[in-house]
Amino acid sequence: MHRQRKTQMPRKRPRQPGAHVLNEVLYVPEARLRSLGISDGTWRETFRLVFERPEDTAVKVLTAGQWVVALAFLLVLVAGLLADPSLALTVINALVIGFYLTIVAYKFWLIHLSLGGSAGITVSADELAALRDEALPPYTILVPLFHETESLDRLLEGLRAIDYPADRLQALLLLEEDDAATREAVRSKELPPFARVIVVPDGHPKTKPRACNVGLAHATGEYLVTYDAEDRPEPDQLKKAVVAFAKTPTDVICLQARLNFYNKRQNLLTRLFTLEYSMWFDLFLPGLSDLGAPIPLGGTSNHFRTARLRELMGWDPFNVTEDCDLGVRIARRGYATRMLDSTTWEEACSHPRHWIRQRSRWVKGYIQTYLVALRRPFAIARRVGLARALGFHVMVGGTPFSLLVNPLYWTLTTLWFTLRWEGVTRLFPFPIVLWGLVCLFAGNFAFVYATLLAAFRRGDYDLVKYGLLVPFYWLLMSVGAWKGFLQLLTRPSYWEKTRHGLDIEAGYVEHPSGSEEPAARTADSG
Amino acid sequence: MAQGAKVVATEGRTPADQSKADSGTMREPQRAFGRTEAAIFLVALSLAAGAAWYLGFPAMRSREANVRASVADDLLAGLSRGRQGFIGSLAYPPFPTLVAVALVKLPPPLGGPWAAFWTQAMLGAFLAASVSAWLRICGVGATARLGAVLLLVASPVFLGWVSRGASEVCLLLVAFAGCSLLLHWLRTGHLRALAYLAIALGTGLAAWPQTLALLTVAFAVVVFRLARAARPRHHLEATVIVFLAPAVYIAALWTAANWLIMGEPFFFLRGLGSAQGAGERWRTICAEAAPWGPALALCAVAIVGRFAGAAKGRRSRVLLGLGTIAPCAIFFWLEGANALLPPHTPSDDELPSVIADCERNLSPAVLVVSGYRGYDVSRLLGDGQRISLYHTLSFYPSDMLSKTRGMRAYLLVPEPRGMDLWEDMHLRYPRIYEEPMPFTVYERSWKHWRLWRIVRLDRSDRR
Repeated sequence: MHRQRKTQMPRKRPRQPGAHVLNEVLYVPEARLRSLGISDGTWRETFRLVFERPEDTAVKVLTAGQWVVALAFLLVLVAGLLADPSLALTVINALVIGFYLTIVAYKFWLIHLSLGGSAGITVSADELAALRDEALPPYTILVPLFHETESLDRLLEGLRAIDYPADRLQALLLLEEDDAATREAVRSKELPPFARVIVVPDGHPKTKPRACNVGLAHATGEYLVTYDAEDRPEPDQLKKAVVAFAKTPTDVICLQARLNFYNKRQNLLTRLFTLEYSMWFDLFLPGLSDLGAPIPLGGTSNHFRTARLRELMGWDPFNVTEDCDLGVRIARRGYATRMLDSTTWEEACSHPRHWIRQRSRWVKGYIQTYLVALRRPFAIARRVGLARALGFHVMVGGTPFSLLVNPLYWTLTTLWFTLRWEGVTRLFPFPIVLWGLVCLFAGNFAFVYATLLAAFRRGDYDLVKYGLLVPFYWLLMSVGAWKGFLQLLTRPSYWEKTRHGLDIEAGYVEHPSGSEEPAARTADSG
Repeated sequence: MAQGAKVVATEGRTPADQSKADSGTMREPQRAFGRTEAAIFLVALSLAAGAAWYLGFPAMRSREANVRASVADDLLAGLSRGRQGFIGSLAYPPFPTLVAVALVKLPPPLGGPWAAFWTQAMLGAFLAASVSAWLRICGVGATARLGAVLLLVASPVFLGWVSRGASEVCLLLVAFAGCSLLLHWLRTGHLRALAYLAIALGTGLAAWPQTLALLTVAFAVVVFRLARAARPRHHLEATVIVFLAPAVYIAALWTAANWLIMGEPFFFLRGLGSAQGAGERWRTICAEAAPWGPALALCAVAIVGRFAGAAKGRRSRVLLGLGTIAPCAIFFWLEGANALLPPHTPSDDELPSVIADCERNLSPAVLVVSGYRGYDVSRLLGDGQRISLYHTLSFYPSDMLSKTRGMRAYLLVPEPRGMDLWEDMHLRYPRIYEEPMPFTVYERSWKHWRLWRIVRLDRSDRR
């Protein structure tokens, strides 16, 4: 038994002290692998990053060094609170307010850049028309599926709609061994000729990146893209990516397409979710792309140069936002990500309970990614420069932090306005009170206003008014953030599965590209 | 399938992308402000500082700078007397004061009254840089561009306002930014121009409520433009929301602050609707109080510059170039060197002698001064403690009577002219200067000031 395990794990002993524990955890009997058609080498590839560069993965939430720093920080905090609680709290408050101001300023610089016309890499109709089918490179599509029976029809329809020569296309449907329902459903469908099923062995961690790594090991394409089960990419997206890769320097190894929702008008939650997505993918990420800062990838519709992705050892199977982590690793290795001006339409989670689960995973993953990056705090700055590294800290570290801290400041604000509580006044001496007021009145409004602009820019004119309700959505975001944070302490690699197909269940009739009024929108866009 | 693909792909494009496509290769300039503008900013700032130093700021009478610095001080001291200045008055709207708050605690020559100066000097320098940037974007030649900027920043009117820390500079900036952004939006349809236009005009409301006029005109232009074109459903609604949101937010904040602190949501409108002198007050507010001439001159610079850059032929370029310079020459230089001096207010001139007279003849006593005038009086009163000052921005007689109970107290009232017309006591009691109130008797008067003795009928006062 022991020998068997050794054959499945890399022979080069990793630097990770607890590697033998990992061996135990990740172990899958060879016979079972063979029965699923997965070779020893392929399986090894799946966890290559974990064994060769464990410090770049979230296999541990905190390393020993990070524990020491965290405890030292805690010690200083407690000592400060004991010595002079008022001063200590005021200093902490000042730091948080400073952080808020930095976030506001940086994000608005990004929005300024994006509104200035940055749309990522655009590919014209002429450029697409000039492509010859026989000259197109092989392309691999990875579609991890877990409990996705509801979305299967939609997925297959989407795959068939992709405008790319079938003989150059490889679609790998990555099913989980213990998900009999989806496997059965897939078996009952007629798959496109370029699609193939791969069953990922049951085991730990049961995450999407683990499945993607298995897919990567089987990929034959020169380029590779990941889609989720419910995705509806624009049919010419692969061709656009090919042209875009050809137009960019070779250090651009990843293109992130824009994401948006096709069920955006299903209910209030999907409307607000759409606004958030529009802000993220149409205002923040293009701005980051313009600055050349690390881009936290968005889970799906990430197009890669496959060879470079293998060089990066694929995704971190322990990170629950493996996309974001990969985006950071891309930057840290000196490669670049750019935005592709093409949209993939997804299903917006329409139920608050499922939405909170999804959000908790995202926040947990962002914290994981940030903690992993902090193990070498200056690596990013050395590689991309201080200003661009600031983008990473604001977007990856700042986003979850602000979501976690926001409720505290909302409470303090409410206490002050309703009870005029003296304690709040003491926390905000001059000039902290000034900057706090700037955050409260200017910062909050600025984010609401940016939400309106995001909807407008995307052409969702009827959603603009809903942007005024976005502060209520922030509350929900903070609930999800706290759930994710607490889960990080207990189940760091647990994958909170997003339930898809809720729109179908609710009988919501989707329109192409999420448009309420397809005819009018088409006319508007010329 | 191909058709379907085409539709989806087209819908993926954002309106901004569409605008780009419509306007050929045009993109919004990523760097509107280049090195030239940075240099202009520094030159304008230096000129302003030089003028302030030459004219003896802050010893020169700069009432606004003094008031704003004092209100900012009060705000930082706990909002007690600064309340009205913070939220209530149309005479000194809150935005420049709030900006000055950031500097007021610093030592001179950065803080104190200098806070108001630096605020306006920075805004003025930014205005000069913006004029240059806009004309450059329009394609106006360097001679006309720099000529217009130089005529602006070296003009007596501009230097006079900046060196006094007068918030007229805010209105100039809002007018120019609003006009140029509106023109830019009309040409390109870029969302960024629309958003910045809305933010500029919205913020302008909190600096000069008269900006409402500019906002209304711009709103009409935007709606007219959109109404003429075939647009998708909800496009007009969305544009209106994006355009009005900042202004509505600012107005709502101001109103909420009035309600929370003063108990009156529309405190700043108090007195404007009263029967006595309402028409005159409205006229003053709308027409005379705002520097419309120079503000519209800068709008003209923006408009002519837009056409000058696109003009074909040397002759028309020269003519339009001159047209760009002319408004600055006319509206900023017309008043000559007099514009450098603070506006002559008779009650201001008389105040030192009034205070000296009071110190000689009334002491020991409490001098009650309400409104912004109290800040001027507090500067002039010596440290001799012979006269103590009771100063509140809002005029509440019952409060005043209870606070001065058992003391010899006098109420000093300025003639309701000029800025004094907007003092809270004149808004609440329009006859307070002419006629005694139930608790005052005539004591003495000067040319532009009147002193009322405060009397009470209760036992403590008779003692």
